[in-house]
Amino acid sequence: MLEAASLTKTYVTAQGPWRAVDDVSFRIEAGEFFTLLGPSGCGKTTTLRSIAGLETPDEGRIAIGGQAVFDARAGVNLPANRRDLGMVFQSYAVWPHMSVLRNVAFPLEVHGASRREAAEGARRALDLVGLGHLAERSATLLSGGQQQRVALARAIVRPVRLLLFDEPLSNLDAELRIQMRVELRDLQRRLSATSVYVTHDQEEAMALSDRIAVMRAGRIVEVGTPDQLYLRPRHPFTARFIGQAELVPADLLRRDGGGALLRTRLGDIACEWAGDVAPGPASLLVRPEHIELHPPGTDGPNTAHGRVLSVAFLGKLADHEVDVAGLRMRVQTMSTARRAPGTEVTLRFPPERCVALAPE
Amino acid sequence: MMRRLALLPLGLLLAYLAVVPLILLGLASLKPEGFLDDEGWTFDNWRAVYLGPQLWPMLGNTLVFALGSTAAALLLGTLLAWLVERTDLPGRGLVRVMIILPLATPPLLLAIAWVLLLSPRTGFFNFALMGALGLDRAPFDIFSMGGMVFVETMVLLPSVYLMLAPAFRNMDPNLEHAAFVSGASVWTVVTRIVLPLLRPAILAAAVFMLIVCLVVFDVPGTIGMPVRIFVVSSLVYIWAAESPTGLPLYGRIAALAVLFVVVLLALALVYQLLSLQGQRFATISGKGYRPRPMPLGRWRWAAFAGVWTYFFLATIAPLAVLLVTSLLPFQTRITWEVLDRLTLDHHLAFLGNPRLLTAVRNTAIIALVSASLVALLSLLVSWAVVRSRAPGRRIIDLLAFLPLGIPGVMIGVGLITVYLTFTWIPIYGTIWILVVAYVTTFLAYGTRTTNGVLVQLHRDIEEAASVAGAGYWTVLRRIVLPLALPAVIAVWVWVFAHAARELSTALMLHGRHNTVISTLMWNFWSGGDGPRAAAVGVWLMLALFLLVGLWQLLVRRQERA
Repeated sequence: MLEAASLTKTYVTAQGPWRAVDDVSFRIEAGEFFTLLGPSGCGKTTTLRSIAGLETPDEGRIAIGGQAVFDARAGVNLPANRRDLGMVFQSYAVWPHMSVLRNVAFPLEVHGASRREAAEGARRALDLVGLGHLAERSATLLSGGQQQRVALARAIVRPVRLLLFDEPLSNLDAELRIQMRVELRDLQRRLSATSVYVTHDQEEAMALSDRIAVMRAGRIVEVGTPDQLYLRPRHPFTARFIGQAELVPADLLRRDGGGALLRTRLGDIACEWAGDVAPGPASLLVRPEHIELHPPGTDGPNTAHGRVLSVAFLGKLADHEVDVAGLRMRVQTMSTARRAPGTEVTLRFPPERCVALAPE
Repeated sequence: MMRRLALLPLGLLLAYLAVVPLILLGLASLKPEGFLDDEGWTFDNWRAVYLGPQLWPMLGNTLVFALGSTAAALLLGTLLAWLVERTDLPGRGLVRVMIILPLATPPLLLAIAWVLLLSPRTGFFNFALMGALGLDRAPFDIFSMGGMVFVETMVLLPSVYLMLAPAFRNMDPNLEHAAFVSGASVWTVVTRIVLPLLRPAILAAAVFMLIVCLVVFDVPGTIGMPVRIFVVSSLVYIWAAESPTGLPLYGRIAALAVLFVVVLLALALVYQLLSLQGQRFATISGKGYRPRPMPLGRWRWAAFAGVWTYFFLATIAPLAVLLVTSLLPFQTRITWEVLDRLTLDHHLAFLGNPRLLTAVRNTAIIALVSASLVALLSLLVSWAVVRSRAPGRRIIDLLAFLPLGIPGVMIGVGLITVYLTFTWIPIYGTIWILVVAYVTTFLAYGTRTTNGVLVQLHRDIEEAASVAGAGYWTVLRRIVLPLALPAVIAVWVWVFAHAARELSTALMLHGRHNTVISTLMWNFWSGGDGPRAAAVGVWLMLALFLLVGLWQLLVRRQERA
């Protein structure tokens, strides 16, 4: 449905040229919810705006539904208004001089619908986002969450080829953000609209996406489903950026099918997943909530001896800081199973939760 | 409590400056000669004005001139602001600097320059075109309504730009992008999104320009008066300075003033309301995203040519012709032969003539004192208006704003009435009556600027100082003043430049002891001595360019820090 190939965009700044987007390529299937995730300045917004036609890449090609909308070599650059898109902006961009209804009806009107048809369509879209009762209100008299819904209704009021979202939830407060997340996901499923979403919030990306592209410094680090990226990332940056991660320097001794045996300061650790890491320097990834705490002296493979340094009580969960062979590791348990500081423990790293990664 | 007490003297001062001249002007219109100590009351002046033959042509001219200049300046100024702030026009940075230059050019000098360029008998451009195209008569006649509108448009354009550029700059570009992505064409985006969003700002600029055009004297006085095209200010000038009886017709001027003051004050109120409404649409986005400017494509160089044509017409050509004229031995057509006889005589005379030096000193004192008083009063008025909750604060705001709608010639006549009546304040005929006039006139501009800054200043900032133990004046001196300083300096520079170039009020209040540079130039010019007027003008412009340039340097350095 969407294909981006070798997109590159360089900005000239006072400090010299800066590659905002550096050879970015990806494909998105019809109906898929695809997210560009990364810290600020990673190039995700520039990539999205290039798809929209609001930014012109220096190189590369973008095709929507098989039609090239941008091709640097062939000199193709379809303007934004002819790419048949819906887009939700971070600042909502709700036009303050129009009513809610006129805001939402605008895309229909500029596509030739009569004023009445456009109003009807706009009402249907407003009902979909639960704002039907505010249609006549001036757009300046809305709360942030309501403006967000207006922007959403405006994006989906026409059946478009592609929906684009530029950090749409980042200006909302936490509770509303989670609520909107659920609604957005429901709506996208119901419309089966192909969507590209940009965010720096990994939890939001996990909750919404079919697939996520993790970006850093203008490049895509890795693309995968939320499961893959969390449980079996290929790159240490992904491991650290999505969820909490304990990364331990290691030496990969030998590959063992899909897994590997790692030598670390914790001892020899077997991992069931090692991607394509070759023997030699590597790192061990294990999530704090996957490390098991056992009474001292519990021996077996993938175990190590440690001592609890401190505990933070988080309500449902407890965060332990544990000293293991001179390394400080975080271990998360249910708070009912928490250990007091000074307690001697044996840590177990379940092989099915251990991942071998390239060295950091 | 202190704040309420501080409001009272401020209110009284403003009422004295703005309202007393108007009331006395109204009363004077009912006196036979227009002086308050005349015997008896009469409606003769009212009859002479409103039933007289001069009223309707003058009203027609005034309207055509004001509406024409406003419309043209608004159209071109909006276009310029859009080109500079929102497109990939080449050399935008230079445009932002260049636009300051016409702002420092006194309108009187611009009008004189265009007479020198486009006069049908001696205009340089006219003769150049006649030579180039083989015409047997001059293609342009500056002494016409068209000429007046043309020059006034050049005068107003930078102001329109300066009023609208921030509106374009502050508009969230995503509002446009959202429309583009929705499928709207460029034309639809401009007409249905951009222009409606900017409507309050554009309307406010329109009303402001209309007020300025209705009261301006320099351009209609220089270009229209010689061919008897009168607008209100030039008619008032004629009644005062060249009445058939030899005595100023103050009674008639006062009667005419009543009509204009009412109309202009209504416009001033409309302007006030529109500016308030503009704030409702404030759409500054939180995200510091500098978007790609809109590509102009093949129009890019056409726009570039258009912009530089404007600068050529507004600054380069007038400056050049003034400079050359100031070097001419006597007023004559500029030809190649004459260029051999250029002389520095007028410039040397300027530097050695005690009368000229007195005018320079007067101008400097008046501009300095007026600018300082306006800057100080603006800050005090704004602080009282923005911060206090006393019921009188709106009245104070209004009082400070009113004089914007009173023509300079009428303020002049009003002050004559006041200080011929209150003879115990002996400032009639001195430079101080000009200071009073300028403080009154320019306070409106000053308070608009300082209001804007203080509104943005969060109340917490001051309250933190109060809690820390600072008193009323300490908060003002240590917190408010430093934070508002850039705006206060901007007000000071603006008032200084405008007081130094102001002509209409100065002409009305002209006496033997308060000659200023602008009246001197006017006298040279209307006496037929163009080169000498040009020589004085060149030095005035140089001084104003230096002042504005220094200020811009300061602003830029501060922005970088």
